Amino acid sequence: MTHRRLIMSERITAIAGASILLALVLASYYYAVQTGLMGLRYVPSPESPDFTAENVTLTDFSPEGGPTTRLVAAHVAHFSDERMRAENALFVTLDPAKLQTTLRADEAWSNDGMETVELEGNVEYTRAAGPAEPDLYFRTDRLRGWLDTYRFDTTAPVFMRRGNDVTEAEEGMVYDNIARTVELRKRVHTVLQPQNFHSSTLER
Amino acid sequence: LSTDRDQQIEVHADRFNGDEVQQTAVYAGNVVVDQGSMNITGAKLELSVTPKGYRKAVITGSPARFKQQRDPKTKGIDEWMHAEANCITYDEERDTVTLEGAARISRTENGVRKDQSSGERIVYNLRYARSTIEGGTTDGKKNRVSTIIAPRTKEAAEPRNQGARLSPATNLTAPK
Repeated sequence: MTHRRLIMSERITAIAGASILLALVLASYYYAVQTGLMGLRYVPSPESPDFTAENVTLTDFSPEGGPTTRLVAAHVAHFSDERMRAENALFVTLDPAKLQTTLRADEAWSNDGMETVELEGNVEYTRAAGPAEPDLYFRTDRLRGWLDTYRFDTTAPVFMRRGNDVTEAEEGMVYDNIARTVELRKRVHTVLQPQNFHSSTLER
Repeated sequence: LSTDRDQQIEVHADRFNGDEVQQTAVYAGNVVVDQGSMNITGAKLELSVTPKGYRKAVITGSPARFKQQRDPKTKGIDEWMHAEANCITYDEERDTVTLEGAARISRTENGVRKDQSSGERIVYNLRYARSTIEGGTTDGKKNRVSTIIAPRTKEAAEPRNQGARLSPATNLTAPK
């Protein structure tokens, strides 16, 4: 009697498991049929880009056809909300009428269609020497820039070299390349070379 | 010291504003300027470059202070020039320091003040250590300058060209 009851309960268990499996298969098939591919739409998330590119060189041209700026990056990702991210980014101005400037960083973000850029990691800015002014170089950890007005600011420590003279500031800088002014804040230390100094011995 | 002008100029301050178009650099807040033994302190420093490329530094303060060691002339005497004024101008080309507004300049030997002059405007030549003092005018009336020259001590007063002082030998034996 016990033996027969045991066999019956096993049979019931097997039948129940198979029924559940069958129900799952039928439900999946039903949903698969209902979901038309036509309606499928990619909903971008802030984290996932809508296009990416490797080893990029983007060159901007003036209305007259001359190159004005160039962006070189190892990796670029663009997001649907107009944000753009570049790794190992190098930004160069090519306008022959102006002193060439370069801006380099480990990572660059633009959150508003390249109106402003946020640079992070080994940020270096250089400007070539001009007829009346020496070359300019500065280095910091992060920098925010307005590419249309060429204005940059940071709250991080800054190392700046202008010609032979070197200046360090502990808490930030505002640099305006159009007005040609620079403001440094907190514990500023400058070393000016004497008149008879030869620039070959200088630290970069 | 005469070697000061070949040394680097170091500037410390709280803030800095540079203007490449005007070719000026303004340091503000606890400004300290060092070049060799020369030291200038003040509240604000305006550094500019002359067309010939020489620097000109204008330091204002209440007061702005200046000090510089003189080339040693007498062994064992550490000679310094000290000065203070509302405005100190260092002209690298002419190698002069101009003191304006309650200007006072003094000379010390081993920390002891020897000579002192005061007036409205003092021009001190760093190369020749020569001062020109002007009293200035107040309400059209000319002010006077004042100078205090410390008396020379007896040893220092002796004429220099006397040469070494001789004294009889004490340990020579009689000739054989």
